[in-house]
Amino acid sequence: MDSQVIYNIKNEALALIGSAKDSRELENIRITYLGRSGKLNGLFSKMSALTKEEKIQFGIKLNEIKNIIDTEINSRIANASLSVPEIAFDPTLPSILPPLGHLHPITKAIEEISNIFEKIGFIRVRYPEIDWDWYAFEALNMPVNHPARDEWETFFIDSPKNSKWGRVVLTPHTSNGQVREMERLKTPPMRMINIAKCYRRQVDISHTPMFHQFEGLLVDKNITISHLKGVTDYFANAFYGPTRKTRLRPFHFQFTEPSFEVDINCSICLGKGCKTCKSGWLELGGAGMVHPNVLRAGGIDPEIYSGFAFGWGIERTYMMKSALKLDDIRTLYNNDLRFLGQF
Amino acid sequence: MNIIIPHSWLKDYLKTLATPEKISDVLSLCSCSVEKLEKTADDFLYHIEITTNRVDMMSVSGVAREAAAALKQFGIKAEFKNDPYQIKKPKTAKTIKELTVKVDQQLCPRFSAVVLKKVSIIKSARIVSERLIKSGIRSIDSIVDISNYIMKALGQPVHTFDYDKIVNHKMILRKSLRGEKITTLDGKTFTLPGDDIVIEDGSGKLIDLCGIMGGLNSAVDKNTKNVLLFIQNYNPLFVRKTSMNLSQRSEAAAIFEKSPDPELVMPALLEACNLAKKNANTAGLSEILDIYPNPYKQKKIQLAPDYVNASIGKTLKNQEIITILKNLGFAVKTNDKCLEISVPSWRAKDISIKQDLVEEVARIYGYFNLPSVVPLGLPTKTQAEAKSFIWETKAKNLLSAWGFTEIYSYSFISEILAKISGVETGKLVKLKNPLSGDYSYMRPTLIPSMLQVLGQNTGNFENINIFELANIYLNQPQNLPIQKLNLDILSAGDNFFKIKGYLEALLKIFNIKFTVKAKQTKKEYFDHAKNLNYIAGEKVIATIAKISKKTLQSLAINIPVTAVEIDFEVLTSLANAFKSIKPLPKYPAIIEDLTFEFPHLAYYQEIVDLIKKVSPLITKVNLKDSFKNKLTFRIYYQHPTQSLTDKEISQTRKSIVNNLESKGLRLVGTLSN
Repeated sequence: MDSQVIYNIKNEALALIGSAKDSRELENIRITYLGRSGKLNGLFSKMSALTKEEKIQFGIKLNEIKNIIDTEINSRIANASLSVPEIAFDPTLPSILPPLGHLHPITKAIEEISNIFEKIGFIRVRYPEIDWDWYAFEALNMPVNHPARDEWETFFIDSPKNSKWGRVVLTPHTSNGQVREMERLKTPPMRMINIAKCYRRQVDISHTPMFHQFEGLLVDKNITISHLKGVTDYFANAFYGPTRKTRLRPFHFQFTEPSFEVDINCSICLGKGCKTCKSGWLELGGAGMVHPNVLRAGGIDPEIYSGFAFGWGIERTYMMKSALKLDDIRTLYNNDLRFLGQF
Repeated sequence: MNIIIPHSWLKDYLKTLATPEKISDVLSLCSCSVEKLEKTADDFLYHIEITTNRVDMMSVSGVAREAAAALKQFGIKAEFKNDPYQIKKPKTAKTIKELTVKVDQQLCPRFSAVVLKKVSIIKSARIVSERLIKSGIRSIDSIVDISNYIMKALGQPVHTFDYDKIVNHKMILRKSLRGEKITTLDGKTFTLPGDDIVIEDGSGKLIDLCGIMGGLNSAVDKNTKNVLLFIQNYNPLFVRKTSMNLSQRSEAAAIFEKSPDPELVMPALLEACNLAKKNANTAGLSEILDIYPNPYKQKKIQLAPDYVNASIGKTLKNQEIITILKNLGFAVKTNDKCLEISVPSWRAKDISIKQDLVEEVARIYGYFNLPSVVPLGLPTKTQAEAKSFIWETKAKNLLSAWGFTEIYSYSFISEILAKISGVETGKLVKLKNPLSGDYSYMRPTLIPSMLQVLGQNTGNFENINIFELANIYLNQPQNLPIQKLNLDILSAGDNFFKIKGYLEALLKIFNIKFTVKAKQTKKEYFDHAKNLNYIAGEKVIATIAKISKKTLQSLAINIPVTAVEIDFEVLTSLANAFKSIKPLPKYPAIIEDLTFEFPHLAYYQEIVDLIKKVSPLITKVNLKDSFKNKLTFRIYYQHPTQSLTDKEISQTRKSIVNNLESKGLRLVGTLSN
């Protein structure tokens, strides 16, 4: 057999290797020439016609060429300049996700609310969640017999009564921070935002025995109802959006006079009234001008200074914003990670 | 308090052409909240929320008075008519022959009664029964309906007894004794807790649970001939206590516990007598009994119009202020610079100071008419603890970015969780009136409640990594409980060293220098053989530990859990955002690996500390490798201002080997020199 046949195959293979565009093509060349039923193996089957000596010589040559082609293919594959076949890098394979954690919605609300008030000078403070009756009720102008002070509405701690400060209570509101803040600063101006856990003896779809409130307090000279309106409108714009505004309705609280309920216009109809909101307005929470007895309890002369305060539920305020459509507020405290994982 | 008022009934007291929709809006903006305006076949029903200070508005006439005052302010013609207080004072007596009474004045400031003779117990007139039904009250008969009708119309609860069932025609109004029994009209029998206001008939038999409900034994029935019409005022505290203790929240109790106007008693009595004639064909009346030793004395308040203006942020004309107050029933006398305001009896409990009058003027004038002004001013001085808020945010953001989910669990815990906390009873903060056994104590640690949360989620998740930042509470005698923030982390699975990494990363970011001590914690819920305390400023700032098997078992958790407990208060007090900068080294470090056989007679951390102690030239020691009982340390030698030669560190290297060999570690291989 003509050894030229072998060399032709070799040249042909090398030419193909040289012009191959990607490794897939090279692998195909390897199969065509070096595979079990490849071109070179085909030649082995024709060796029977040769003499023993010729067979040896031919075999050596064939193996030589086989190695050359193999080396060439390998070196081409190893060569970085070779373009990678598109499918060999599949960017759609699943990612390696970093672990994803979640902040509780109440934390998100607290962050956002305190940032909004910080911009108009209300500094965040922290006061006890378990406090004396004095700060939670007595100093807030709540008469001894007020229903909030009885054991049906407020949690009390099983401990002896202090002769000066009274019983120990789980604060049913953040308003205990009012007189404490007046005592800390002694003279106005004072602008605080007190955010804390509160407790009331109530459990149903819209109440949890523990909840969070944010309490705003501003005391200064010449503070009027108009200023309270200014602050609630500012908050409504910043927290709920520029088309939102508030209105005040008469209400009653012991520690404010006058007292209000603050409504915000509905996000859908902006106050005209629609199917979702009925009257056009949704209730945000309570507010009022600080009662002179509260100022006095905090050592501030109500003939010189006046102020306003508001204390709203974090849960409610946030749920109204995010349109979470939680039909049961207790979900926030069930800590089902399938729920929390959505935040 | 909520009340339903039919529009048709309201018109008895309110003359106006305003639509029910307009009336609803105006009331909500200026007076009481109309929560719903319900349209029925032939009427409109106002569903109104009345605040606790306005018991005078728990009636059709009370709401009408307010509506008239407010509508006028909107430029709508409106008049309050048939004012119940505009009555001719009737002749009354302190004793009457039909009834002998003994009244404890402290319990009952006004006691009035009259006997309606020869009544007909029939169906009520249509207008009476229809109005009651529209207001959400059942129509019973011609006498019982009078009570409910008068209460709804005027806001004064009324009771009727069958006069002939009060055997000796005697009444003793007194405090109940503990354990006394009474069966009320609705057939329920109560064993009284004591100190309830009751009426006894002189034979020891109770015939009325005052302010709540009458006794069944003296109830009006279809055979009743003579009726004792009975209108009182009670000490509100006693009524509330009884009503709450017995869970009897009747509308009468809701009114009585809010101090209704004693001056309303007589108008209500006269109106009831009138109605009795029409509705129950009453043939005649006895003399009117009225025991009222301390009648209302008019209260006067000085109000400067300037003060009103300074409070609301807008200047009103004096006449505007006067008109509003007069429309609400206040009498106004103009003095030099001040107005002298006389408070009507029905507002006496609610109006005492000038601020109260500002509210009256401002709400009727309309809060919506006042400007909205953001007050200018500078922020005040912050609390010393204020920096903690910044660290809180930082820690929460870090942990959530590292894959932990934040939870908020209740501060209360059950007896079982309190036991798991291992905190002695004397240190626990116990609730006096918990809602249920699940809320008995304030938690002294976050771990048990967090474990409960973890356990509840194991059905849905394999990897559970949670954290919570909240107060813990510990009792202190004669003082408020200790309340301090803890930041705790829980991780399900065998993650001790991974979680340890997060803890140390957090401490590093907070820039806290610490030392560690193994197996020091005595806390019950931690595995006493698998824990590590982090100490800074001589305080334990954090503990990482595996949760003890016993604790896991008691909460039916069958996967291992690693916990971190951080005293966040101490942490933030030590945290420092500003790191001092070290100059960058000018010369490269010499790095070498030394391998020792390690017989586990000492903690790894002790060995590292021992190596570092040898020379200040050793700037870093890492564990490069560990295989069976061999540890390979990678040691960095570096001088801040000059380059080191191998010769210079050979002495240090020898000391390392000697020190470690003294601890039983043996160098693998030999030192070159």
